[in-house]
Amino acid sequence: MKNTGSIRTKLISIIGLSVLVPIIIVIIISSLKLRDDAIILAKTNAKTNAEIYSKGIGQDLNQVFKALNTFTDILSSTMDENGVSNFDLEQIHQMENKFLIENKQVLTVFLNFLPNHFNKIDNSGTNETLTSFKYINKKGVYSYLDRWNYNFKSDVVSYLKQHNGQIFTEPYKDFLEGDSLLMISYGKAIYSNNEISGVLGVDISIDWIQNYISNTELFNGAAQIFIVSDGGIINADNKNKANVGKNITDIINGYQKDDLFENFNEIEVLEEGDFKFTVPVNFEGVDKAWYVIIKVPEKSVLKDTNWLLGKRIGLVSLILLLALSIAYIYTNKIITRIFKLSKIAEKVAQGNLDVSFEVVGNDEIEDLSQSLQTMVDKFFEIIKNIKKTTEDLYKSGNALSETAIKLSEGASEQASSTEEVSASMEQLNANIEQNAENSKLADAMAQKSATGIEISSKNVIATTSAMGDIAKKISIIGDIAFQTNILALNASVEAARAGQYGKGFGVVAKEVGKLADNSKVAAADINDITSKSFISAKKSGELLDQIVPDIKKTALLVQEITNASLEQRAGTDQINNALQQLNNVTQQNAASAEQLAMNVEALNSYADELTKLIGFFNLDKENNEKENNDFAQNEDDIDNSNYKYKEEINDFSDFESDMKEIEDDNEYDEKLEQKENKDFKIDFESKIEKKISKTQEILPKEPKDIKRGFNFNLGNEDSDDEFEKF
Amino acid sequence: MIDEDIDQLTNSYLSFKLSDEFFAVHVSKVLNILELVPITKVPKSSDVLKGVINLRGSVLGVIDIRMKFNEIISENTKETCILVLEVLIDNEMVEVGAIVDSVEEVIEVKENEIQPPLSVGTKYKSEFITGLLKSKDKFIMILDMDKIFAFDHASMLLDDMPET
Repeated sequence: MKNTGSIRTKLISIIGLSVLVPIIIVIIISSLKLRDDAIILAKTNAKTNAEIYSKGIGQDLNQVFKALNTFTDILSSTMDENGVSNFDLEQIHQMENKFLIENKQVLTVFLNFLPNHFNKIDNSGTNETLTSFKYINKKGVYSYLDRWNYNFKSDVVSYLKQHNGQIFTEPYKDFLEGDSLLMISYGKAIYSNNEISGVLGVDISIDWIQNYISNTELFNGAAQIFIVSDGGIINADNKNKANVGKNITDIINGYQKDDLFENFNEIEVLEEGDFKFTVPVNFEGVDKAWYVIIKVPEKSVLKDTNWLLGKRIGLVSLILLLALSIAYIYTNKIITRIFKLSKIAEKVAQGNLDVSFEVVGNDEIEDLSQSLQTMVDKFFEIIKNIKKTTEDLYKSGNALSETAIKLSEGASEQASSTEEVSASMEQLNANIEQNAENSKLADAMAQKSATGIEISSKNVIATTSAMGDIAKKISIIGDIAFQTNILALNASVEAARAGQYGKGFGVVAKEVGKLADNSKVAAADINDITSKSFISAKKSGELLDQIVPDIKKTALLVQEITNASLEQRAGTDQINNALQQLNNVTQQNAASAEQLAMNVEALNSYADELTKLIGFFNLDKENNEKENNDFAQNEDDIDNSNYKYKEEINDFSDFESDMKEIEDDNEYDEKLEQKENKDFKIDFESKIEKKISKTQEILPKEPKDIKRGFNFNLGNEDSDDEFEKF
Repeated sequence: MIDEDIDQLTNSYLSFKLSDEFFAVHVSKVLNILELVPITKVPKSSDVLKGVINLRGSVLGVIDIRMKFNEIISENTKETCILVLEVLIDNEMVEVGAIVDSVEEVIEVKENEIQPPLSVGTKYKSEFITGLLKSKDKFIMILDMDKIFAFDHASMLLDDMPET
């Protein structure tokens, strides 16, 4: 639990950054654009306004100038070559009045002539001094006023000549009828015969221009508006009104004359980021121009923009706050579940595999929990199986060790057996040689027997014929006996018939009969014996006849036996070789048994280790349920965050100390077990070694040179393979 | 003395064998015992009459008494003999030859040793058998030859007999 809350921090940071960074970029870009847009807009605005002012002023004044020009043209056309007009003064006054009425801005109209010009009414002046007629204003006709002299105090005519017959004054303040008015004067030369004979002029009020501008508040009055001419400030916005009429040199705010009038660039960005617009007011037929100047400080232009920007930043902060709080809530949800999973996983890490990952939610964490559940269930099964298998392995290891001992014993027994077999084989070899000798003798004897029996057979045949002769002779005796008997009987009969007298004869006859009978019996016996002997002799003869080929056959067989004995001898040689190989194999077996014993020992220790390792896992159900309940309690507390975390960490430290105690106990057990293992190992090894040494004593020395049969004396690496194959 | 002789004479029997049975005939009836000699067949004679032989210059008819008892006739052996009997036929003593399988012995028998023949249970006609005696563990039937030859066979025998 070292990393408590770090995922939350990371997630919130990521979400915050992912929201913040694009928004900041957007804000920067948009603010830049806003600024540009605002400046462009402001410039457009300023320009438009300047143009409107320029046009408005130009239109009104041009109308007056145009009318005056027309008027002068008319007057010029009425002049003769001496500068005398056809019009009389009254007519001109009427025309002038009309002019005044038609042009509202015109305050006065005045007409000046050289002396002796125009009706030659006034000849008081010099040629160079214009004589003024009465001038007319809206209130009526006023008496003469030498305006030109008042204004120029110089040679008007030469001025007119220098300036294309035009006079265009700078704005000036004049008192007319007691009012201080700002006005300009415009005059036009009247020509006769291409010579200036007089000038027609008007005073034009430009106070209306003042009104024209002061009614507009550009950029909330932040913009400065000036209308300037060569001589000074004709007009200005309300704030700068005080400067109106002043000479340009008196101008405020550090604008120098040169700056203002000599650089009539249409637009100019000033030092402080402010900008200035200059638009000329063009007058038709007049070689002078005024300028409308609008100066806009950047601050005022960007004021709105900044406000907008501030609003946006506020909105963004709000969104960010909202996003972060949503992120916090959701991450908290996720982290709570991850924490739960982590707790369960920790249980698993402590070896408790009977846990349940119950995390609700339709997302990857649930998938994870299910996957973990599946994994742990699988582990549970596997480790259960491993546990069982380990026990089996242990048993098998013990069985195997017994087997190894048996194998070793078997190897030694095999060695002794092999030795015995080898001795037996030598005996067998001797026997076979004896057999061969005997069979040779037997062969000779059989030959002898065959000849002997042949002779015997012949003798038997002779005997048989002799027997036949005897039988014949005996039958004669039998016949004689029979006849004798009959004679005796006849005698008896005769004797009987003779009665008392034949009694003695009868006795004799009877005795004869008895003798005859005895003879008969004897003859019959002899006959019987003879016939039996005959049969026996005949049979013997037949048997002998049969035996002769048998004996010949026997002789042949004995010869075959002799050959077979030789082959047997070769066979026993091969067997001897095989036995020697068997000896080698037995030795290898003994070595293998030793190896096996060592391996079994290793196997047993591995099995022990495995059992210990697997013992780490707790597969007991009841324990786990209790722990799970504890965990459920924990789970409820997780939301109470830091305090609880700390408490849990303390719990863990307690748990760790407990674990350490358990481990110490385990160590003791381990030592005990190791000791036992060692005892067993020593016991086992000594057993094995005894067996092996015994085996090696019994085993004959490894034959160094094997000439026949398979060669087992291969290289070391190969011998193992070969042995395995074997 | 004479009586004793007669007794003795009358009490001697010649025993012989027919097939497996032992028979005896009184020695007074027996003239001679002959070895089996070739028998000359008599044409158109009965089966009982085997033929005739030459006995010391006279013709002797030979019958097979085995046939008389409807016995199975044994093969002739060395022991087969011809008994020359003196038989009373029609109050006339006639010599006749009888073929027997073998001749055994002459037995002396006391009167009281002869037992009467069994009336029933024997395959032989009891009229031919005058008595039964026991000798050496065997029963011997005593035949009355006169009676045997008294039958028509015998007469026929006489008829068939060629004139001497």
